[in-house]
Amino acid sequence: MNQEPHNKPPLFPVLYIKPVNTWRKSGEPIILPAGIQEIEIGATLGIVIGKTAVQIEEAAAFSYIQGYLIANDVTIAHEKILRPPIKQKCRDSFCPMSEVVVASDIKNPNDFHISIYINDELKLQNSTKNLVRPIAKLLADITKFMTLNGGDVVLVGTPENLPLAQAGDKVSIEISCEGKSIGRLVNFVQQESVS
Amino acid sequence: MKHARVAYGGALHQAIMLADGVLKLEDGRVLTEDQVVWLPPLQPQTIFALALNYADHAKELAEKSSKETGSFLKAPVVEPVIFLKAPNTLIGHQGFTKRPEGAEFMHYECELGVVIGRAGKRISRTNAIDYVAGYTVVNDYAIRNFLEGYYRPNLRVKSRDTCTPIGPWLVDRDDIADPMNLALTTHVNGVLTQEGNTKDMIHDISALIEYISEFMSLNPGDVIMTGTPKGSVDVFPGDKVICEVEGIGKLVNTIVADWQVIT
Repeated sequence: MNQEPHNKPPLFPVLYIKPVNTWRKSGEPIILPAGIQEIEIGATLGIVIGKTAVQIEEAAAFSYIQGYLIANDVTIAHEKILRPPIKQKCRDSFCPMSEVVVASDIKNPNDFHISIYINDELKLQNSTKNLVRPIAKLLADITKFMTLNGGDVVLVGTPENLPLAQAGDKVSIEISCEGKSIGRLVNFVQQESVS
Repeated sequence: MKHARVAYGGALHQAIMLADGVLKLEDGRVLTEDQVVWLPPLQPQTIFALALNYADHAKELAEKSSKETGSFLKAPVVEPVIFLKAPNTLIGHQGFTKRPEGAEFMHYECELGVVIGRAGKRISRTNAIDYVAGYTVVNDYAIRNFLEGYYRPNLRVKSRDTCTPIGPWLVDRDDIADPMNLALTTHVNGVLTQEGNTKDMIHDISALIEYISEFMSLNPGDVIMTGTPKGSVDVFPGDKVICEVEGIGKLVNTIVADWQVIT
C-alpha cells in the first residue's frame, strides 16, 4: 500500500457502486461471463437505509437503518485496484440480495456472523466484528459527502480469502446474529451462453 | 425537441423549450427560464463517466502530477477508463455546487452526456446510435486533492452531493445531426477557460456503447458522461461556471462555500 501507485493506505472508505444491472434475488442465477472460469463469492451484510441521511452523527446512525440484508458482491478476482473495478464487479447478475430483515428484529447489529457455503460445504466464516469501519462509523463517513436516501443499500465489505465458485456450483450465504439466522441467500452459478 | 424537468408553482413539471430562454409546461403554461427551478432533466439509475477520454486533458493532468502518476495518465489508452457515479451527486441547471472544506484544487469538467433510450447488451458500434435517446450537458466536478489510489477516481472525488450539474435540457437524438462534432466550452465569470470539440474524443459515443454493453446491460435512462477536454482551472465560492455544448445547451452553475450542518 505504501508503494506507487497507491503510496499510502486509504484514509477514507474505499467505495464502489453495484449498479441496477447487477441486482438479483435469491434463487436467480449468477451468470458466469463467457471466457471466465471462476468468480469470488463476496459475502457481505447490506444495510438498508430507511430515511434521508446527510452528514449524520455516528451516535445517531442506527436510527437511519430500516433493515439488513444478505448480499453477494460477486467479483472477478483482480490484483490491480487502481481503477474502478467495473469489469470485475458490475457484470449482469453480480449482486444477488436477500429479502430485508427489519432492524428492530436485530439485537446486536455489530456482530453479524457470516457463513459461505459452496455446494453445501462450509468454506468461510467471519463476523462484522472484524470490520475496519463498524456500521455507525461507515454511515457517518459516507454521509459526510454523499446523501443516502431511503431504499439505498450500503454493503459493508467482504471478508478476506473469499472462496471461488464455478459454473454449476450452488452458492449459499447465511448471516446470523446472536445465533439466530436472518436468512440465507442461495444462487446457482450458470455459464453464460453466447449466441 | 428539448425536454426539461422543473419546479414551478409548488409542483414538479415536464417542460419543453419553446424559444431561447422560454419554456412550456405540459399544461400549456409558458414561462421564462428564470421563473422556474431547474431539476436534472432525467433521473438516471446508472451513471457512467469517462476519465481521460480526450488526449489533451490527460496530458494536462499528467503535467500537474508526480512523475509516477503522470506516467500512467499519459500511457496509451487501450481501453476506456470508466467509473460510476451515484444519483445523489446530480443537481439541475442554475444550481449551487459546494466547494468542500479542505479542497485545494476543485475543477469543472464540461462534458457531453449521452442518454440511453433502449435496453441492450452486446450492442455493435455500427448501430449503437439507435440505442441513444438524446443528449445533455454535464459538469463533472472533481476535487483533485481528494484522490486516493484505490479504485480511483474515488467517490469522494467524483460522487459528492451537488458536484454534478446536468441539463438544462435533454435534447432528442435526431435533433443533433453529428454528435461527434460539437464544440464544448466553459466560461468562468465570463472568461473562456476551456475549449474543445467532441470530435477529439479518444473513444467515441458508438465505441463507448459497444464497449460497456459488451460486459453489462444498458438500460433506458442510463447516462454516459463522455469525458472532458483540456482546460481545467480551480474554482472558488462565488464563481459562475457555464458549460456549453453546441446545440445541446448552456449549463449554468455557481460555486458556494461549504456550510456547517446545524444540529
